[in-house]
Amino acid sequence: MSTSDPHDELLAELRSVIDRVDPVPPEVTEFAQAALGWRRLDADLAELLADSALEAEAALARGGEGRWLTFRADDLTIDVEVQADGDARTLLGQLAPPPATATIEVQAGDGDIAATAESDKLGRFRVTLAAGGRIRLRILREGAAPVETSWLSV
Amino acid sequence: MRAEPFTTLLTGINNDVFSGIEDVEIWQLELPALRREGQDIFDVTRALRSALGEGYERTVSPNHVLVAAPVSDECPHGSPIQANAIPPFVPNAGVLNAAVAVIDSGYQWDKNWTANPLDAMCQQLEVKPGMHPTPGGWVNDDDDVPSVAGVYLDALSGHANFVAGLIAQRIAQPNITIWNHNGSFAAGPGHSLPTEAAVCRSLLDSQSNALTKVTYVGFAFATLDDHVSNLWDIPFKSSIDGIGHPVVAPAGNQGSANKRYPAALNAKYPGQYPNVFGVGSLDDTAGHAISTFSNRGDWVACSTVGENVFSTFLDIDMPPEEEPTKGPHDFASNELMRAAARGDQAAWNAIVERFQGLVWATARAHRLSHADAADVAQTTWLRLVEHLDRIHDAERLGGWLATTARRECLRYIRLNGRELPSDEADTFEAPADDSFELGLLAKERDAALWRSFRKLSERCQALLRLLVSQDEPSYDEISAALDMPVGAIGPTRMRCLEKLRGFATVDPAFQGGAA
Repeated sequence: MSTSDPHDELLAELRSVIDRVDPVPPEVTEFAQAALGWRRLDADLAELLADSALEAEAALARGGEGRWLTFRADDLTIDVEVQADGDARTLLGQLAPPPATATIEVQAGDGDIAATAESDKLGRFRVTLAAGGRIRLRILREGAAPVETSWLSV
Repeated sequence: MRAEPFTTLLTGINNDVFSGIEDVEIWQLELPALRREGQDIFDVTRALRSALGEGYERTVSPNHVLVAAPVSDECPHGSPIQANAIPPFVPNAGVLNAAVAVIDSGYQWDKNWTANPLDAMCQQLEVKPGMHPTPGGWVNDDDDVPSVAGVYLDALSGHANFVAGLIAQRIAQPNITIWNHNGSFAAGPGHSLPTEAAVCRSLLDSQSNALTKVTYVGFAFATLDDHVSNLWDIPFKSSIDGIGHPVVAPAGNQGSANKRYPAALNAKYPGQYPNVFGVGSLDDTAGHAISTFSNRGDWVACSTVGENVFSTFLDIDMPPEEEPTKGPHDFASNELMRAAARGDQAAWNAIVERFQGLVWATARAHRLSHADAADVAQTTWLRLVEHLDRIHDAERLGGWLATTARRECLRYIRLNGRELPSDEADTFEAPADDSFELGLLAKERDAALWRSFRKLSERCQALLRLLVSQDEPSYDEISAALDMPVGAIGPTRMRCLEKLRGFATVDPAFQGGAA
């Protein structure tokens, strides 16, 4: 007498069907493999800590206008508000503590630098992108290792 | 002095592991003179010259490897010494135009010395013994404990990782496959002759056109009072001078700043041995901090991972003739993670292969369209790349990926203003237009099963999709992917499969197509 789950065969059949109907797309596999090329070699990670997109209530409270994000590295916090205007995206940022001087590079998903900005004395910066997409910020400060944020779709 | 392969020098080794390494000459540097009290130091230097200089053909063949590597076998993990931090590990900073064979070994050739012959001779030799055996065990040479026995020399202690680390830093694109074997001779990471043999063989198998050569030279001797003796110029200058290819000089494991041969020559003759790299040890699990036991100082040229490395240790036994397996169930994913974090594409691809079904199914289980699911899956993989150096417990990697994919789904759904999948069980939803999918299924029975699947509740579809996303789905991973309590998975699975069977059973095509 078999002790196996009576549904095992059905599940195996279903697996075979789904493997054919909805396999992992080759372009996703290729992207995933190539993603290793994006690993940070010289920069500290500023991890995405908060995203109003994941907090429905917060988004509602703000009227759904902007999207608020917080990234944190060991010695730097980056708050960003993303405003959409048609295709264009404006990032209003705040570095804390404010560095004496910092350059913010917006790296696009294709590896290009989509935009750059300098922060002001208070650590604020503003960048406008022609279109949304997957980006990450790279913060260059004098006397400190570069900081890169997590990837983010805006 | 012997010029025979390890296999003839050591017993208890499975000779098979050396098969295929025909062109590699492996030398063991043996100093039998040290075994005898009062031995004339010139016997020793003659032996060294014989091994490294005269009689050693300098025209190294492509696969010629000299191993002469006595270093301490045991790592006493001494207290950290702060002086003179060693240069950090710099991956992919290739500057050398050569390929390198990785040779490592792990044999401590005589632990049983109990006589006390050698303190006086160490004075004569102007060296300090690497370690002393004491009645209480082995102590390192910086402990202020009088030695009760002689010089501890162990030939060929395991440091392939040092060589591998040097490659990572100095060789631009070393087409290297790391092999491993944790065989009868294993005594811990990097301590395995079969390991070295396998590594060696893998290099011979590689398609690299570049010459494959490296010299690994370490000695158990530390400098006496940090003085780099002229005595050691004789063998080293006559042997290392002119070699040209990389010489790996392990810094040693005493946690000491006291210079150690042959890297000590770097301090004595700055710039004269640019190919001789004193290599210190880093701990791969401690943010690449200097291993507490690693020697360090200006005489050390660079550092590499000396603890917990992919290159020399896998948590598995494998037959010597097999490649390390990177399949789903028997690969040492901690090592893969670390290798991927260092940029090892093959290791990364193995991780992708292992988990891509889970990531994809998680996205699809959240009712994302093909294009949106692809976007979420891509972001998820980028997240893992971001965190490669922060995830140390590979057993949780699947759960981490599933959680990350789910969160990316939620982010996507919220940003795009779609409602979340309903948690209400078994609510019926009219199937979408599946004509494309059905077109892929030639058999009537398969098409019927797909139609039945699409009639299931979202929750059931999501769970079943996860259950078939990989060979042995873990409930932890499924729980993370769907935010479903682990305890609910079994009963839900049963109920969903019963429903699926119910729908399928009433479909004539399902019955008609049955075998």
